[in-house]
Amino acid sequence: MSAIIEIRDLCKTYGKGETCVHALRGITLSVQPGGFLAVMGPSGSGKTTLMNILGCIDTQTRGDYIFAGTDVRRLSNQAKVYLRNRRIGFIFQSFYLLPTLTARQNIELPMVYSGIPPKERHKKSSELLEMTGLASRANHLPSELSGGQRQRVAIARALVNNPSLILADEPTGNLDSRTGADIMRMLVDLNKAGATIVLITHERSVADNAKELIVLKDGCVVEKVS
Amino acid sequence: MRFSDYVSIAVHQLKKNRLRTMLTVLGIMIGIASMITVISVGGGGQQMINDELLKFGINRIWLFSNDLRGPNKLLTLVDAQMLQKVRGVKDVAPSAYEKAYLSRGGTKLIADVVGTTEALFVMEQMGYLEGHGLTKKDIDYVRQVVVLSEEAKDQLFGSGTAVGNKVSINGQKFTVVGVEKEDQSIYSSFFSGKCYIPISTFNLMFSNRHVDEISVTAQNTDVLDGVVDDCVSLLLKKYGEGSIKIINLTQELQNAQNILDIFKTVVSAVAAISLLVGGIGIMNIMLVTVKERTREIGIRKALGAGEHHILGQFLAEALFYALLGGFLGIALGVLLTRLAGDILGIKTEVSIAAATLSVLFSATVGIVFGLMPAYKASKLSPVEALRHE
Repeated sequence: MSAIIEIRDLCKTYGKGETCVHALRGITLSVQPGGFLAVMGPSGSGKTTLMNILGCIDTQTRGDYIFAGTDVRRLSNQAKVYLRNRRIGFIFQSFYLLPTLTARQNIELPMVYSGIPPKERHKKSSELLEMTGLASRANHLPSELSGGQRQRVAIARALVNNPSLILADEPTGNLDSRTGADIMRMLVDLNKAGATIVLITHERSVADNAKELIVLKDGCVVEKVS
Repeated sequence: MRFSDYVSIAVHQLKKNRLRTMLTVLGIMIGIASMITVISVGGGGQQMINDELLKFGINRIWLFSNDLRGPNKLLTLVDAQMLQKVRGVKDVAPSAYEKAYLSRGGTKLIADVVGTTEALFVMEQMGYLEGHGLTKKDIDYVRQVVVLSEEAKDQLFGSGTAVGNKVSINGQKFTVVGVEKEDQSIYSSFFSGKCYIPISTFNLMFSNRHVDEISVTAQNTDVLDGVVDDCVSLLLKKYGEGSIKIINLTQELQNAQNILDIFKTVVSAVAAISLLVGGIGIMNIMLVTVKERTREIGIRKALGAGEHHILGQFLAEALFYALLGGFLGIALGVLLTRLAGDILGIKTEVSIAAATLSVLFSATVGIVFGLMPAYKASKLSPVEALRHE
């Protein structure tokens, strides 16, 4: 089976000349379908940069990123938008829900951009609200939800278009340990059900949920466990 | 993304910031309202002037003798009869004027006595407070009858009835057959304090076979030019080059129109400036909105919004501001138009065309001024937008 993520010698630099910052210095890794990779490292090690590139919202300076057999560098903006919308689900540390939309509307947002009719959106979001245990909170605004509930809304939103890859950037970072454990259990269950997950964290206990682990430091992979 | 999604996002945003929305919309609203008002009131004014002139007669010409030795040396009743035969002529009314003493009992006043025929009463669509105008028989039988102006009647009879009573003109007894109702026509206000008697009686009384003017109406505006040419050439042939002077209201109409056009242009320019300012207001608020919602744009892009989605979203918002302003402006404009119509005493009507035009205009303003902020939003890099606090 071919890998979902295949990156080779990936580099990312910000700025030019003397102020140039090397965020990633030649990273090579691959994730198979159904894989669960945790990326660890202290802040400033390049974790988020890596995730942004994997999520096609940022572009590498050098190296290759092959997503499900496609060289992302060769893709048009339009095609990347399509990937973000249909093939990739994002989960962020600070949830990134739109504050003026209800839980349901937030979950339905990616479907809005896929052009799915409102009826279908409603059906799908109902399923996901049920699955994440938020059925009774569907019409609440994010500000009326607890941190754990918000993150569950974000997870539901990431799943709504049945993506091939879920990218989770410190999903438990803003949660207390018990709620964090709940969220992790959810991700593990998703992985068991077949979802491919890349998880970014700086906590070993969180990373232990994954099947594989890499540790970044100063933009390089310093440890690899599988 | 569906059309309804753009609409619902825009409405949602506009509802969330009611005060901001209202203030932003205000500029466009004032611009559109003033545009509507100007067009409607201007149109109403134009219609009023047209009506007035029509009543007095834009199909009407006045012929005078151009003789400087005296005003009433040339034209006669024979000329009037001759002109009646010209093709395209509807009515011909000869008139002669004299000042005379008009009296009843102890009341005496100096009035303009107009000697004329029944045609004048038809031409000017005269209304009557009492009785009627002069008839053909009055002229044919040289009757001693008179139609008084409202003012003359008031002075001689007060609130009493005038018809059937006698008045004297330079000592001769005349029976009152009618009282002219003076309307508020702007072109007739300077002709008051007068009375009308049959031209035949007039000629006899003042020993004068001439008339001062002959007014001719054409059957319609299209044949007016031909009628003017024919009448003038007939009279010139009879009396010689340069003997006849002609007046008609086409020039008056043109003047009135020119004044209105200038007025309209000036106020439209003000309205256009106000729309421009309104448009800049929209652009300003859209730029602020894009800045405020940078994070939101980042999130939307990460979730799969394309540049065209973001562009469309913000353009829709700008368009909504403008259209909301447009519709409120139409409402305010209709209100102002009614108010202005009442105050000025003009019959005004808001034209569908003006309303449609203003909606199109405001939509254009919205799109033009929304384009730059929306484009800016669509080009934001998702990573940087997400990082934005």
